[in-house]
Amino acid sequence: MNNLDINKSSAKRVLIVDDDSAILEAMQMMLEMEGYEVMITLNGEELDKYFNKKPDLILLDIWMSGIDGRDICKNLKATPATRNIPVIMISASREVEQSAKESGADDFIAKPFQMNELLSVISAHIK
Amino acid sequence: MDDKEKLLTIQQASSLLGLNAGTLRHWAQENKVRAFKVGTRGDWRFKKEDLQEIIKKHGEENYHIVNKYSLISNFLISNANSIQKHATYLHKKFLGGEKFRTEYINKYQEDHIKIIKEIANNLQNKNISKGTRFFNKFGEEFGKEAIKDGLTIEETVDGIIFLKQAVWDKLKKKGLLKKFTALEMFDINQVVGTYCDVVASRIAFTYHEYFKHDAHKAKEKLVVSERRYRTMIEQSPLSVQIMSAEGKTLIVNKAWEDLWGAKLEQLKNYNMLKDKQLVDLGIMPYIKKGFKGMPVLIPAVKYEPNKSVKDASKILYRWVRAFIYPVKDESGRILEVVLVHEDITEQIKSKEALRESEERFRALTNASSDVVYRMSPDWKEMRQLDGRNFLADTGKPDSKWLQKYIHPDDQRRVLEVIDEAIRTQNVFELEHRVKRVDGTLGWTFSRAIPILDQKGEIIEWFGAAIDITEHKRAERELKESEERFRALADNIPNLAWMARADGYIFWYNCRWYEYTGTSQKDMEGWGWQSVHDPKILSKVLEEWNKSIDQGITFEMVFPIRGVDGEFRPFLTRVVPIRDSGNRIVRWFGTNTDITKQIELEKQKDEFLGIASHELKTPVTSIKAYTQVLERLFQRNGDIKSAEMLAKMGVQIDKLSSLIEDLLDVTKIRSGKIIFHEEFFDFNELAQQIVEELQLTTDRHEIVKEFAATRTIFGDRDRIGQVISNLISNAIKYSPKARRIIVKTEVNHDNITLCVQDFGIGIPKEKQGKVFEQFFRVSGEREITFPGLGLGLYVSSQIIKREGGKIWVNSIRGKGSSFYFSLPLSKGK
Repeated sequence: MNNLDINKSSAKRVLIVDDDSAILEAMQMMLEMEGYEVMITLNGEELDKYFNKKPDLILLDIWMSGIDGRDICKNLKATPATRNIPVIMISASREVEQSAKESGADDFIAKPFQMNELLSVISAHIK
Repeated sequence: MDDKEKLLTIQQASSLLGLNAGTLRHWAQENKVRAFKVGTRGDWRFKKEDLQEIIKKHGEENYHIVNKYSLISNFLISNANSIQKHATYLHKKFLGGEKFRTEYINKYQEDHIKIIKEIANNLQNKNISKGTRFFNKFGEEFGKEAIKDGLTIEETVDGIIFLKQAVWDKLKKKGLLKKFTALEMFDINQVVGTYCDVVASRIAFTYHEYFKHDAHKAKEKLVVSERRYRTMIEQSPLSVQIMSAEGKTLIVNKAWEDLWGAKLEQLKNYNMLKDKQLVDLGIMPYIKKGFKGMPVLIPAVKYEPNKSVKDASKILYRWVRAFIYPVKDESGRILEVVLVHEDITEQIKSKEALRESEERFRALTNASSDVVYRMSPDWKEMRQLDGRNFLADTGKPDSKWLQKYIHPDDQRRVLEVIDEAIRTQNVFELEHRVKRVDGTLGWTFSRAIPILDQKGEIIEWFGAAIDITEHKRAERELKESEERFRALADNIPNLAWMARADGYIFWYNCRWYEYTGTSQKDMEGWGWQSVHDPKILSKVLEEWNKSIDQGITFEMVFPIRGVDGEFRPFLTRVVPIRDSGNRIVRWFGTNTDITKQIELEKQKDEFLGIASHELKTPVTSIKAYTQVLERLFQRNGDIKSAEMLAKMGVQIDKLSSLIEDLLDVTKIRSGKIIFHEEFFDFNELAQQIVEELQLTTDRHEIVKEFAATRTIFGDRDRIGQVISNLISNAIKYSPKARRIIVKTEVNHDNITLCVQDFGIGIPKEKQGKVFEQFFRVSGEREITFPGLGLGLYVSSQIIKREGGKIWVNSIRGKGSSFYFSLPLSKGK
């Protein structure tokens, strides 16, 4: 395995949106180790500029300062260009799973999660 | 003419019907009743059967026209002759009228009959003034006639008085007066009595007018006073017997007849001065004194029943007290002797009963009292006192007893009560302080009864006293301790109160009144309900009544309204106070304002909620970094470092599950926990959890004993959390065991899962608490097991909300079995 210098053209792109930089970086490291190309942003309102890089999957935190991840998800699913990008919502609160799925999320994962758990969910949604 | 003989005259017929003769005549004329005219004058005659028919038919409806008094007047009219004869008899009998000349008797008979008939007529008409006019006129003519005939005023007036008496006697004998009320009797008396009196007074007035000379005036006065005197005697409730100076009985009144059960006639041959019984009874000397001219009080004596009295069987004996009084003329000659008797049998009987019980009383008090004593009738002197080591003895009469025995402060009160007892001849009874035989102060309860002689005089007082010093001391101590208690209870910050065994609240502390702003009067008994929230009151009452019925401690939180009108939550605890016989004598209740506690509790929950949520995010990052690092080390071949990081990961998992528990608790307590219910396969879930946890332990083998699976409806994750919690506990608390059994069982309406371990177990007394917050089990030698003690609390809350049950069976040192069951019917 030479995951550290992967073929960028074949690598799957994952966009992670979370307002907590620590968790953002941790996930970035993990996913890069697994060979994903990772884009991160702290600002849920600036997602548009990442869409031209065509992410294959979006990991979206629900509770972010200033904006609700579920609203972002609804927008994504309502926009033809982004409708088909799988969205996995993340939250520290298990109670919001239902409402996450109602807002159009393809999957949900609760914090704190096992790395294997996260990886298997992601790979399930990226063909 | 047989038929004619059977016909009734108008008087007979009206008497039979109870009608006025005039009314009946009127009916006959109007053909309302069948009547026959007979004789030359055409008098009406009636057939008895016809009259009986009328009674049957019209008796009821005609009653209103039948004068209530017509029976009397009809009787008087039809019996006027015999009444008059009775009057003459009375006149002769009482006033010795033998000397009357027969021609006058016959002459005035007619007039008397006329009076009777006129009374009868007036009784029906009840026209008093008309009657009075008639009788005035009648009396005047009667008087003039009598004066002409040379009759004395007494002879003439007495005739009328006896006539009146005769009318009464006959009416009474016939039973005609029975049906009347007191008011009606008064009416009758008005008519009968008044008319006779009118006649009598008119006669007297006529005499007076005729003889305007003093000599006659005096005589007339005598007649009036004699009449008054006789009336008085007649009506006296005391038995009166008037005798001649020689001892022959002249007059007795009704009370005498009742007392002796005899009549005047029976005394024809009796002479009081020769009565041997009176000699035997020892009262003859008193009687003789009376006949010699001295008024004498004759002491009470007991008379044996008079054999000659018919009804003697009824009268066993009589106690009679008498007064003998001689009546003299101006020269001092004894004319008559009056004897007045008073029957005091009942008084004597009650005093005898008292004396009979006296001996028994003495015996009883001797046995049951600490002290017995005897006092003179006026209590001036103590005759004897037997003190029995409580008080000093008194052997011979002592007039200084008050100073000797009674505490100076109590002497006045003792004397007051004695005075009252002497005055009323009643029992002396008092609690007072005494000087004891050892010189110390004591308390006694003293009681004395008067001992009476045959005549009802007090001979002495017999008393008994008991030592109540201890009792008084205990009473005072109780009072003091009660006062101390109340002072204490008034000063605690809680509201406090006491109730009787039946729940009636009789005391509240000051705080209660301060907080509620109520008064004692408002609150007494069940008045407390007014400061309760009406919405919750029924629940409070239900619980309180349950406590009272079952005698169990009451504990509940409910709001109580303060003086400011605001309700604040109070924790109320009420405990039963029992006596030595384990009976509840009181309830003691406290109400503690828990507004602050609730506020703090809420703050704590909020803090925990925020804290645990905030903790979760960094823990998630730490975990992610740890996992990244672990992989990096593995990849680089640094296996040791990788293993260390793996161990670190396990600890981070523990930390995050603790945080998870804390979050769950705050959610449960604030009611924010949300369940995502769905249908799922129960065994599949259990299998999954067992597999996950098997990975965390090398020591234990988790054995599955599953029944056939069922689909149930509920929050799969939450129920999984419960199973996981139970198995984790089993692992944690059985460090030396090798096996854990997870068993499922399906009953007809529920599914049960049991996790059995063979660890340290839970002591019986703590088993009820395992599902409470922050409960933790200690091991041998107080080894503690890590954990916040929240897992079972969270589990029990989850199972409860899923509509199931959770419980435990455990034996200390042998292990525990935790069970939960869930309904199968849910969601279907």
